[in-house]
Amino acid sequence: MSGRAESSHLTETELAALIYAAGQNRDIERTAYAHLAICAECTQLLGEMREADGATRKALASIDVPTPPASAATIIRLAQGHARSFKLAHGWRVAASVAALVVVAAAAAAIPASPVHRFLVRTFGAGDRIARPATTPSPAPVAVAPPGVSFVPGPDSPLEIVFTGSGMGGSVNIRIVDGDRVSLSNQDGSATYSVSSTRISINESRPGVFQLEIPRSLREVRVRAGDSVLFERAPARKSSADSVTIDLTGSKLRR
Amino acid sequence: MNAPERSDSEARLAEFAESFRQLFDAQYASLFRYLHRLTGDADLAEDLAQEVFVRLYQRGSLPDDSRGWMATVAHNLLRDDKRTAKRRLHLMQSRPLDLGGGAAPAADEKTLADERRQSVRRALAKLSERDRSMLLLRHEGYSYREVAHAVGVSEASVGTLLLRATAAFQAALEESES
Repeated sequence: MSGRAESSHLTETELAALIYAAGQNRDIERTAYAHLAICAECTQLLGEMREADGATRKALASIDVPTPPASAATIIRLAQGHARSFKLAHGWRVAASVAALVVVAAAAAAIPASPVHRFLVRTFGAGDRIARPATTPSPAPVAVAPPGVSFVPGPDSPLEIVFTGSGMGGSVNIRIVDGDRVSLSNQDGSATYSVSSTRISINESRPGVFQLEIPRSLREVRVRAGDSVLFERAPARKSSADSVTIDLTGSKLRR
Repeated sequence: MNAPERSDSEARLAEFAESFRQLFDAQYASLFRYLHRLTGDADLAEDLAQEVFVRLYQRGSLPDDSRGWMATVAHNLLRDDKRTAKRRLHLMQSRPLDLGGGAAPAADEKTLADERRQSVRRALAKLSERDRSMLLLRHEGYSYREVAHAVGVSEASVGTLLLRATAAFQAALEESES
């Protein structure tokens, strides 16, 4: 760029380098400033661009909010528990899928007119076995944990559980437990969650019953639906019941 | 694993943890601010910033271009979640009033500040995704190389694209305020 004729105007690249990358390319800056010393047009253009840059910085600063507190220790703890939580949630999904397949297949085979039934009769020629559901062993029950989230929070970190989904209804059964994990789940699996070290957000959900387990050691917990605080466990409030049900529709507490 | 190997491994882990803490202390606020400006949602920005650092820790080593890497991961997290994208757009267009912070100003001042924030949000929403990211990264002090890495353009084109993004933003802001 140092070979540019001083009589030609500055390029956008040179102007940008003076504004956004000052001090990073001495060659470009040297030749650019040599040109600016003799070119009022480029000097004016650079001034306008710098003004626009300053106005942009000011405008962007006007939308800032305070940075929420966070610590590397919390992130590390979360990172170490994250994989376990993910694996658990993934395991639930797989188990639920297998259970659903078993139930659907068994139901289809038990209906005499169903294609599955006819296929089995044709294939194995053992209509008796298929046609007598009373003698057919029922599929073994599969224990499926409800879908949800589970992690170990920091003992001193306040935790907030926020229901943000539209059309939220149903209820939350809150239990104070002796373990060290926070667990939140709902039976029908319709909810989606965002999890950080200090917050669980329930973003979308059909009305349903959520199960929330809070370690007894966690001293500050708050449950909100939108802006309404429905449940609060704070150090100042010594007597939190071990079991509480919150009505998400009417924001009522049942004990 | 014998004792010397374990000792080496522990030393490397401790060294990484220390580097991670330093990077976190230096960059968390900046990443949160960038993501808040980008999404208009403080809760989402906090979640994303924390998730980026969680993934960085789980990576087990710091990338050469840590800030570019973090911005790229944050962008991918945003893109991966369509519900988040819908929510972000909704917030940027419909709910700019809840973005304020700091001490409570007088009613008139607050109204003006709210109007200003709405205008800035509307102007940002009018930019292309790439221009918006570049502009916001630039104002978080990202270098040409880091911006190029984060948004997937050549380093040589960053300056020109930034000039154009700034001009587009100023034009959109003027239109939004008129």
